[in-house]
Amino acid sequence: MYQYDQLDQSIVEQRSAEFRAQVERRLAGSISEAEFKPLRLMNGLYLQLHAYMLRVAIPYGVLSSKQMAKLADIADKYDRGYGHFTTRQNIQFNWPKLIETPDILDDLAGVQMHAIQTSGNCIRNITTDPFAGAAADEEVDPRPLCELLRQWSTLHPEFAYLPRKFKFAITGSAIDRAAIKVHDIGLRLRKGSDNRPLTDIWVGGGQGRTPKVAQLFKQGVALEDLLPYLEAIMRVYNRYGRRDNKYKARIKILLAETGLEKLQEQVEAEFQSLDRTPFVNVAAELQRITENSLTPDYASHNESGELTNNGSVPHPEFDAWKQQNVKPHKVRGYVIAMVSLKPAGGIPGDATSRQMRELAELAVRYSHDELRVTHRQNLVLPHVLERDLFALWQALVEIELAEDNIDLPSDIIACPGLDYCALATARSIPIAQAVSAKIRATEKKTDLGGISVNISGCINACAHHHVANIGVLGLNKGGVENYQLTLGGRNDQNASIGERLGPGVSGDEVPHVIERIIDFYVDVRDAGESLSDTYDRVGKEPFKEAAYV
Amino acid sequence: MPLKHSQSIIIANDLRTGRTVYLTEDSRWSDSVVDAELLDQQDYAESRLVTALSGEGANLVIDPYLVGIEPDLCASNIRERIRLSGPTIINNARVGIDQAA
Ligand code: SF4
Repeated sequence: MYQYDQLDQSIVEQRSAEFRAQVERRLAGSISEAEFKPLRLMNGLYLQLHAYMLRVAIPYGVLSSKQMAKLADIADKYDRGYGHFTTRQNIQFNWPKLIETPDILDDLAGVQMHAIQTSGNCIRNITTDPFAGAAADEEVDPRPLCELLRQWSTLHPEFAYLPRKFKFAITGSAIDRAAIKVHDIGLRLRKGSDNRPLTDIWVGGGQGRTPKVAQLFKQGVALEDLLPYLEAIMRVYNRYGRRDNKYKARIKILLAETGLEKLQEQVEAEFQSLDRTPFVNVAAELQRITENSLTPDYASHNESGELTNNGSVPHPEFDAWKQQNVKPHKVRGYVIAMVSLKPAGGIPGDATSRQMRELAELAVRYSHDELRVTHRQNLVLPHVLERDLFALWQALVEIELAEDNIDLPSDIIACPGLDYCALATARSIPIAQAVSAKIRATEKKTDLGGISVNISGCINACAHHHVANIGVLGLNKGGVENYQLTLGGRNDQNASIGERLGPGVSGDEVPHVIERIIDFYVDVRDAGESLSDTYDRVGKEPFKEAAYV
Repeated sequence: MPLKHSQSIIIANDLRTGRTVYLTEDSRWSDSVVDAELLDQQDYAESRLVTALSGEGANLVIDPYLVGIEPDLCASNIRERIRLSGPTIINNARVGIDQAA
């Protein structure tokens, strides 16, 4: 895990001091709200329905135990004792006060964290595979590149006022766990024939009111060319991206309006002409980042003996959790343990300060001091000795974090919706609570395989409902909440946008409709078929008939 | 603009805390909706909104506006109802376990 050097540290400290001065000027009335708003947004501070909301960056979803413990402290000291993990692998606090926000930023800076570029029309927090550096199927570890891009994009003077926000996602595995094809730029790292890393660049994916799957823009870019090439894309977007209409300002619209070939030509021309001097040391920079990163000392942990379930006592709950939540690690004897933040009837992505603090300790004890946040709003202990799993599971049971539902329908993504969000048209959290409470019993009885259910509280689609197997979009129809369902979306390497199923339904009906969709799928699926596979095979009409009885 | 509801109140966010606050009869800002001044005359409501906007000018609140309400102090629009009463999420199992701990 990357450790800040002096420059990184001074950036976050200076930024915190700068924001403190801005807040003081705002409170003293020397700057107006209109002048202050863009400044607070640049530091992740929104004003929502009931309070300010602070979005804290968790670069590419990687957290140390110390950082997680600090987030728990912040939740207790400045908020209401919990935090909400988001689909950008960040955390949000729903109740901070403006007057205390500079202190929060100071506390964050103390553990190499910040809230810079978690809002505004800039390059946002870069996301990646939550199993990066641990996954058994990984070809190239994306974390050094993520860190390089974080440093390149942080306070990049050219890209502070882009036409619109801009999102990167990176994967180093063929199985895409980072949803790269629904990002403005998605990067797929792979090994070339000489074993050197190459990158395939996907451009123009996105969600919101005009969902698009990204197009393959350039294949096989060598690492030394990657940063200048990305800079060229950003420059072309910055120059030609529309600023007259914010709904048409993302790069996906520029790509659609310009055409792939012409945009590629424009980028190529920019790439050829740009000054490469700032990029000559990319390889050395990657090397520096790697050297500044702590790597788990796997061997030393091999000796730690912990309470284990050696199989002599049957433990069906443990076995079920292991089956569902534990994934293969690249190092023999190790596994990746996923921690579901989706208890049946609970709030997706929320964790209390106590849970965060306990998880920080569990990461010290069992996961080389490291945690990850997933874009499905769960947490990961990425480096766990297989023989420690039983003890870990017992500890998770103690803090009610042992729900064995990763990738099942109750593992719902839900945005804050109308309970918190100023932009929302309908609630999403209570719908998610009702759906997961209802569907959990079916999951326990029947093997449903992986089914994603994502619920957004407005067309901005923060919960990625377009690319869910079952998507739910909350709207407001004549003052009443109304929910539109989509089917057939995917967010993996075969990303696709879901199709609208039919007329919207009330919030009360959503769990029943989803249950009927799942029951129908179970009835008609062929062996090994996922819900989306079945949907592709049988088409929309039979699902529609089953859903709307 | 004519008032759509028989009564209105003025709602805003407190600048320092961000919390929802209500304009009172004596032109203070209270965090309790029961303290809100009930406005039933359109002209008067608009003049009170001018007062409220001066509160914004004085750096006390952000974005004051009129909200139509029903006799039981419930807003008629769901967004405003949630603003008045807070998140509707119940059954927060996670908060529950920590409180029990
Ligand atoms: S999808 Fe809409 S309601 Fe949900 S968090 Fe995003 S902007 Fe808010």
